[in-house]
Amino acid sequence: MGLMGAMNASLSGLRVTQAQMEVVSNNISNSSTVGYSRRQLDIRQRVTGENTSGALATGIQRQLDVLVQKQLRVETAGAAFTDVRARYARQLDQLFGAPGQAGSLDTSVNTFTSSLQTLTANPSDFTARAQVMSTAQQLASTLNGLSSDIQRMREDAEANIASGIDRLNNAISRVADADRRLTVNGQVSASSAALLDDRDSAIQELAALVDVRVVNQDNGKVSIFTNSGLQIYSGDGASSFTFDQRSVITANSLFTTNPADRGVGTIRFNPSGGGAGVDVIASGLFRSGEIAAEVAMRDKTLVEAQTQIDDLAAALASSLGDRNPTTPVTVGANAGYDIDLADVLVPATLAMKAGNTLMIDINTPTGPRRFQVIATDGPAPNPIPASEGEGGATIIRYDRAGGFAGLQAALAGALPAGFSATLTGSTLRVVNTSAGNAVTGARASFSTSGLTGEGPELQMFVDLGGGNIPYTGSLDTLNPQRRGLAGRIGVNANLVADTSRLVVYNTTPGSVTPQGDSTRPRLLLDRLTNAQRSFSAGSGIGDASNGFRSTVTQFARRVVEDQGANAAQAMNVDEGQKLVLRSVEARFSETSGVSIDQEMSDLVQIQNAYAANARVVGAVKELFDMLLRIGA
Amino acid sequence: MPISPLAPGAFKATNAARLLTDTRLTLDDLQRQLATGKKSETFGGLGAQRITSLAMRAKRSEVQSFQSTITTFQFRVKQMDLGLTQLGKIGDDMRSSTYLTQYNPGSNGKTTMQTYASDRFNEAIDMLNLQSNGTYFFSGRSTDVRPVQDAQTILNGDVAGRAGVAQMVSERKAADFGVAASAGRVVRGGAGTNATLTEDGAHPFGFKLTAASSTSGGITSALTAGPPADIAFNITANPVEGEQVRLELTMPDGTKQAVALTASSSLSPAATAGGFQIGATPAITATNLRAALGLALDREAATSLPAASAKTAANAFFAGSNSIPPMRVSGPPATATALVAGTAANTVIWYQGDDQAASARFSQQARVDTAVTVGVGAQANEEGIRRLMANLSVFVTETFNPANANDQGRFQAMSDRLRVDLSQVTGVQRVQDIQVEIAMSATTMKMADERHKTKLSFVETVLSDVEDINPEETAAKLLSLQTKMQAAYQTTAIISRLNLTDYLR
Repeated sequence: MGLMGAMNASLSGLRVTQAQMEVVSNNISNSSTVGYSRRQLDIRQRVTGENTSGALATGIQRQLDVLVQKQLRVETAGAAFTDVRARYARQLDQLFGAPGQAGSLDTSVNTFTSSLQTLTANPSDFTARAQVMSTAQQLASTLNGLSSDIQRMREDAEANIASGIDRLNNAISRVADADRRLTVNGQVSASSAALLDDRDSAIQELAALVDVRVVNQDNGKVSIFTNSGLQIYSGDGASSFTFDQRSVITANSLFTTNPADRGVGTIRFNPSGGGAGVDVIASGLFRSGEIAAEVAMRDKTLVEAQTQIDDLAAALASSLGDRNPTTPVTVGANAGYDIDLADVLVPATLAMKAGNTLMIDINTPTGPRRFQVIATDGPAPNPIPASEGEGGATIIRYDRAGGFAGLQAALAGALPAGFSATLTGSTLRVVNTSAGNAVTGARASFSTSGLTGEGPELQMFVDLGGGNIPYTGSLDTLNPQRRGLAGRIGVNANLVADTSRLVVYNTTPGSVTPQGDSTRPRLLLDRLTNAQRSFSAGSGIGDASNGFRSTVTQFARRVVEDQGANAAQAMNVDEGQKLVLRSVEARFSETSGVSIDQEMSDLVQIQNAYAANARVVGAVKELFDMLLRIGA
Repeated sequence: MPISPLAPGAFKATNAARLLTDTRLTLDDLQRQLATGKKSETFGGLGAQRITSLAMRAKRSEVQSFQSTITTFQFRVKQMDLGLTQLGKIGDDMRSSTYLTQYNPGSNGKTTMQTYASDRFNEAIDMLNLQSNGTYFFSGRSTDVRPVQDAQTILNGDVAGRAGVAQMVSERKAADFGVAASAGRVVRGGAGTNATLTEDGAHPFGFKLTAASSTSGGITSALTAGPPADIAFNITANPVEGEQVRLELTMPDGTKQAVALTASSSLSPAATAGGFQIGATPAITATNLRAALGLALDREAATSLPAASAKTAANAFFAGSNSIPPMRVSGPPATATALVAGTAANTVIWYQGDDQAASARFSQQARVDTAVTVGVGAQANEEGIRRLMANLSVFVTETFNPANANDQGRFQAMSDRLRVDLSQVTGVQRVQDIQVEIAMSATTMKMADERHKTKLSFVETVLSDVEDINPEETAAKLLSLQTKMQAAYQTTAIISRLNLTDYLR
């Protein structure tokens, strides 16, 4: 140990402090860089033999709390999910309008019913009639607007999924890239800390898109799994995702596992080895993160919202336009209902149109039961899915080709012992045949086809999808007629052409409905505000087994209420999740964040150390000078 | 706010900024609340009370439309009430004037009372055609149809040859009268000790013989009910002075006219209509009785019968509507034996409105509350109105000849009928009864309106509680938030200047 030793030690000190300077300056310059974690220079003493001979920078260490990092990834996925959900819910809530705002759904329904009430008071008044027509059109266009907005939001979701998948692939390839370069370098250096940071930030981006779990491999590489167990990155070769985005999405574009029927895009996973891919959405492999949220919006929340307004549209059309030709009847000790199956205009034919229903409620010693006959012209699915029927009903699929007798046979075959269904002419009689059993109700929903001659019911709202066709609820078409009806519903063009039909329902000479007759307006109003209807369980309103029973106007309010509640709930959850994320971010930043104050005080130390080291070098030089002068 | 990638080094600064932004958003929202007075722009923002908001808005809309219905109908009912009051007054005036009136036909054959009746008839037509904004009140469900034809057409028919009241009355008079030899469609006969009266056929016209009796032991009476009915008196022994032969004639309008002939020895054979001379033998007495019977019937056929005919024809005319056309005399009146329904082509249908509603009152109904429906319709062909119009029209169309001795009796018979017809009879509708029913509907509406006012103020209060802010509270919140933010801004500013960099020289 001598002067040279001291010199060397000081020089190593100078090198180390320079390296420290570099780290500090990097820290400061990257103090607000995304994904940059604070670095620190690892310094060890240089040991030569048994002695210390200066200091040695062994590497640059990232300041990282791995546990918090893991938590951060989980919470990021969760926050991305709730954030997307809250965003859509807020939009939906806004679609339904402010309380009392003109054009909002509840205001449209209210103005429509009150214009009908005015019409009942002045059936012959042209202003009152015009008012009903205009409010009806307003209501129809509100529904149209809601429907197209909801589908536009689904298109947005579709596009967001596509861009999410792009970002996902991009992030995976960034991870792969970082891994590859890390392996080439072999050793941990400043640049590898940078690569690690890069990889972490790519993983962090992944975590926002998909819920991932990261496993560090022995060779320094990582394996990335989704929480559902799908390995999306294995360290060797990048796998990728593809998404077949659809540019136009309508109410009929739904996700199914059958590629032939699928109306929206699906995500496919293509493993790096080239093996068999997998349909990510069908298998439900993404559970959290932005993409899962967009998928949930596209396939569930928004579809449910559409179903709600479709149900409302269908209820509007059929409550005003459907006849219920059932009459209670008593036969000796037994009682039940007579149902007139004949069409009013063509009495030899069946009044039931494809999609029309006949509901029979009975009470047996073992409890109440409900039967629902649904008419079809053939192509409807067999059996008809329970979701098309009322909650808890036994569905009887009935082909209209069977005529009156076929309907009687179908119902008689389905009813349990103790009940009978008989046919006289076109009148179907359903009664109990023994004590303890009772027919508690019969409700027919038979569509009318024109404006007059079929009683006071009125096809006020029709399906404008294929012209001016009556809404019967048919299941025979490729898509059930109810699906997307809200987007197609409109006021019957024939009624627009002749508004007197709001009042006149009979044009048979001798019994022409007088212009001042309020029968029809009163029936319409009553059907909207008083008559109870069942709504399908598919709307998410009411419970699945019983559906929801209310008046049409109540249902409309329930829809608005449901969307409002959803929005409020989604926003609350999102707020909570954001708080959690913030706290994890704060903890993460405590370790990994660059504090300028810290760096500054480090800088002072480094400056001092540098000066001291330089001072030592200076002293060694003076000593050498002194020695050299002695020799001279 | 979307998830932004984390920059660990800048977390504190960005988080502070985020907190400030969030607070600022709250401040902006409070400001919006203060400006609009509303708690939220969406139903979602109202919280759990959104259900109340939706329900109360629907309730308010419903109550308001009930109120608008009530307003419409109250106006209508008020006008109908005025019209019905006037119609009722016309009936009362006519009835009281029959007590005072004089028989004073002028040169046109009309008495003062008839001229008065004519004016009131026109007035009644005006009342029945009352309308507001194209809505007629007395048309039942056909509110777009003027219910009643004009007075001239009703009375005298039209240029197309459709018969009015006057023509139907004259046809009916002729049909009831028949021919002079058997005036009143009753053939006088008998020989020897018999005197007989026989209806000239089974038909609805003329006198109907419904009772016959005698107070004399020497005179038997026999009634064959028919139709055609006949009466036979047989004088087996001469009656004593003062004994009577009586018979009862039922008029076409259902009124009964008793005819009593008193036996008298002082009368000449060509007796007046009140009695008959007792002859030397029963056969001679019978001859006298036959003459007296003929005279009595002729007199009735010139006084009460035409009055009854006119009333019957007018009733038939005013009972007519489009689906129930009036019944008219079939064929040549003098020999007619049946009634036939008129047609729209040959008879004026005075009432053009709706005639098929189950209830006139409920032909126009107003739902004034969820479970309250009132009937406020009326039809000009309701019995009370019809009766008034028929009675008026008889007086308007009739003419009287001062030279005709029987015309005063005819006038009197008509006045009597009007007086009875327009008086209050249990079970028979009068104009006033319609008015009472409408007034009751009006009362129901008024009560509903009061309820609605109370309900509306309740609904408004609840809505305001749910949707509206309390300005004081919001202002206070705004102020405290403002103070907090000022403090936060200042602190942030100070902290951001607290940087070691600035202190290292």
